[in-house]
Amino acid sequence: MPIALGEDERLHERLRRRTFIIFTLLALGAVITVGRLWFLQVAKSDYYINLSQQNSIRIVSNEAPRGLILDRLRRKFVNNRPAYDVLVDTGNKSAYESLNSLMSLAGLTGHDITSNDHRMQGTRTMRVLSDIHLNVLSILEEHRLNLPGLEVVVRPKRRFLLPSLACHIIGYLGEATKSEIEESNGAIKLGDRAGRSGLEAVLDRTLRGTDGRHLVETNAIGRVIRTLRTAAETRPGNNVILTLDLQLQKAIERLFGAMAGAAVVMNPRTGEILALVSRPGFSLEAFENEVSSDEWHKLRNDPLAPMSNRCVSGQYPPGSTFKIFVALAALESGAVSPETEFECTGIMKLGNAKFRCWQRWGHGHIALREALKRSCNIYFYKAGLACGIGPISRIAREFGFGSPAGFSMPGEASGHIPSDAEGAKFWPGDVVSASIGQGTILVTPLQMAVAISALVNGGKVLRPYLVDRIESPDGDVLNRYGPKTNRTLSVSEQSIELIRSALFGVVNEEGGTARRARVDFPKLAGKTGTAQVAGRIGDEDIALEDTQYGLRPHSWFVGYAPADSPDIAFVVIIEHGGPGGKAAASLAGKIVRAAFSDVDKPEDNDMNQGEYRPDSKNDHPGQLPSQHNRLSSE
Amino acid sequence: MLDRRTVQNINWWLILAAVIMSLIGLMTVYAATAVASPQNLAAYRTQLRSVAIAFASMLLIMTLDYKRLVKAAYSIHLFAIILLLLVLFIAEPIAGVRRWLNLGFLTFQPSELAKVTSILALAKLFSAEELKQRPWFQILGGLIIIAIPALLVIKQPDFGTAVTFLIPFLALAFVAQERLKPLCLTLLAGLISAIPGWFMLKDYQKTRILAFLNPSYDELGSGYQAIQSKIGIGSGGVMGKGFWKSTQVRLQFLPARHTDFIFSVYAEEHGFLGSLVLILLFLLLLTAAFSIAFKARDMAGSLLAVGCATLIGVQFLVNIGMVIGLLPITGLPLPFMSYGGSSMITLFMMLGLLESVQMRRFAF
Repeated sequence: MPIALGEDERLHERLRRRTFIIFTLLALGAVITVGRLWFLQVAKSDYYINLSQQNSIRIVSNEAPRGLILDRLRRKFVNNRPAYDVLVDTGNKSAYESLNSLMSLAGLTGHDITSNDHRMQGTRTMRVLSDIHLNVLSILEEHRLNLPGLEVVVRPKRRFLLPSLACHIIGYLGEATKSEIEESNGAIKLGDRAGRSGLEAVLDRTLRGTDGRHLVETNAIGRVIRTLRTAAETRPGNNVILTLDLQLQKAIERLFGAMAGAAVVMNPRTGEILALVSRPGFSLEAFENEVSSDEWHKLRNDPLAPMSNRCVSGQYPPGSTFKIFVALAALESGAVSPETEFECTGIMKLGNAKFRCWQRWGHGHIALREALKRSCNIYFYKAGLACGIGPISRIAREFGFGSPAGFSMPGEASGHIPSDAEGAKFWPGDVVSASIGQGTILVTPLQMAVAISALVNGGKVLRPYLVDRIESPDGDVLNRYGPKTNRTLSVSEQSIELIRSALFGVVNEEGGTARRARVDFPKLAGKTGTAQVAGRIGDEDIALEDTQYGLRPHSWFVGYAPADSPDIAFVVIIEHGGPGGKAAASLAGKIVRAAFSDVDKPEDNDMNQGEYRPDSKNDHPGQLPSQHNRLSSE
Repeated sequence: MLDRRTVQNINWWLILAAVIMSLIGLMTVYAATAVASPQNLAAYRTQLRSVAIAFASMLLIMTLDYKRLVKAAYSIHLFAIILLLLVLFIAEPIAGVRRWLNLGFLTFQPSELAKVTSILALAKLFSAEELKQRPWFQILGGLIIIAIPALLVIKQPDFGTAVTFLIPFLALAFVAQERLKPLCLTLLAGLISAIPGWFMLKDYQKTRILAFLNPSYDELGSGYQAIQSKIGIGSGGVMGKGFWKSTQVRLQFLPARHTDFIFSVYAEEHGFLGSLVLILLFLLLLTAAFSIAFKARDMAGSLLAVGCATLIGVQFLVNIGMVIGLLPITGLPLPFMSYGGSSMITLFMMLGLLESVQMRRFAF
């Protein structure tokens, strides 16, 4: 078959030709490879030998400062300061010797060596000293050339105006957990810190900046000579501007002294929180330096629970402050009219039980306005029995009690208001207790502030808020939060007017229970409360001093100022502070005075000095700032 | 099956080159991993075992007549695809990647086996007499043969391996088809459709490509690896720093130093001369493999040899190209040298196929 053979030959020829082309291409690749290898290993080998000896290429990560937390007038609660860390170059043989000499020069001991020794990724440096004192820094700089293998890097660290100022709001940081690192999509690295409580936790993503990442070449003593590549520029986190008034917050915290309790000051028109105080507090600075487990357990096991934010998670019986809402329920349900009088003889019998008024000899015949002003228990027992638990619960829920206020802080408690089903099982005795804010009823100070605001702002139950806006580091507003009305009250204007007139009387009229709270300007109005904790109602025979601390009643005072056109609504509770007319009322008076007398100073502290700012013009990431900057922080 | 004449026909150069390269690889794996202490031999031992298993599998395949393998090629390829599916569903992920099948005595990546079986299937397809007049059918069929395992591999996810399936397809279509128009048009269509495909890549894959195309684009990880690798190779100079003297390794500066970047360690320790030796070994291997393709007794054998030879050759050049900064960092291992059992076994299986073609070139 000559023709077939020829075809076969042609096929063979083609196969060989094409195969040979592939072979040639691959061989050509090998030749190019050899050429490149010659270039690297022969022509430029000196250059690379030099680089490998210094081992001077590394990835540096420049920690971004977290955003600032500012008050309504941009005064800083928290900013950042530079902290200096000492690293050893594990590739340098004399590094540990250098470290030893530094430590003896500076008088440091093994305890000063930082315990978490994870290497930074892509580097061979290891952090050995963390946040060194400036004295140590100057010693190190002075002997720099005799201490090979040591490097200093600067990173931002939180600085607080006062160690425990607004500690529950600001919150603290802790080392990021493995799962946080995984979920962050690269934003959080091993060894980074993340918000653990307060706004630092809630707004962690917002406050967190972008770390700068650079590939750099360094010289023999570890200083950056050249940035080869930049993966990300350092970008500080966003700033958070709060509705808080720093001065007022500070003043109230100071007024509390050693007392335990909470205070909320709110703008009743908008829901802006002006002050949110929970005492005792704790030191944020202690957390910044990694609390020891001893300190942690001490904080955790403290019976006064300094870590908990009482304003949002503290649930207390409201005591007589609740009479405001019982009065509204009685009026609105038609059980009483403003003129209806009940007789108070100091004691009321219900079956076999006796219920007392705090006024042993009684208030005589008394109508609603006077009863509220003088906080007559018997009147409210009878009014409560007349209208029943249903309307009381409904009014209370309308004012926002019994459910979280929708605040931006974690751990918000609901309090407790009896449900209709629960109320149906109430005995008259339970109704009597509820009528003066005892029994199963529980409220949080924040809920109370919202309710008082609703009383004076035309019936709007507002969502309280703490963050006014989020700003980028350049000052652009990224997010603004404004007033939000959760619900509008159905209560009549006249009923509210009557209550407000009575609350004015509480402070400013003869016979009112809160004469101690009186301030000449502005006039304030409010209601006292003495919340029993040991189940003894209306029995105040025993002197406060003779009662065990834990059995003393909580002292409440809630109100607003100025009385005719309120700019603030406030709630004060002093745990185990005794009668509300005393401790809480006098503290509330001082708070109102502080809120209105203070001339707001723009900047009142040294929080602007030595602030850590990433320097974009400086091409030496992770390195010491210039001498000038460094001195300014001392 | 094996008569004296068949054994006499073994191409010893091919085996010699591969075995020397494997030994150099073993030595370098040792140098790259026994860093903390010379007793740290775990990786070395595993690699030694892999080489032994790989060598045995080569011998096994040499005893088989490639014609019978080509005849059953589609079934064999189907089997490999089933293994890949199994990996996707039952394999325990290692470092977030499902790639290995645990066989008890070794863990195996079916994606590596699929490379060999797809060469077999492609050789059958492109040598089929009845398809001579239907070049488009062949192109389409070939694409299906490689697309199934490639897509399964991308899902694992292993982009580098997925792309390597293209290599034997291109080589065989190029060699086998008389007219190149179908292949060229297919390539053109592929390039056009690659643009939307770009958006389906994982971020790290994009950055690898981008970091190569534009050095000022930046992912420090890739850039850092590339720079450290170049420093290592360049600082080796002409003579090298000597065995176990790589500073890049000792200081643990070079990531993936016993796998993808093993050449960097070798070139640092043995210098330009050492690199040259390795390249010469590679050329020897390449020449031996292609001479088998030239002398094959039929088209199927020839195509089988071309497929295996091209795949080994391209992998070698792509890996070294990436290590010396000529090509993007793709994650392809260096044939016969990188740490990794599956790759080693696959490579020796391909040698077995080559030898099978060589040994039976006179048999009728």
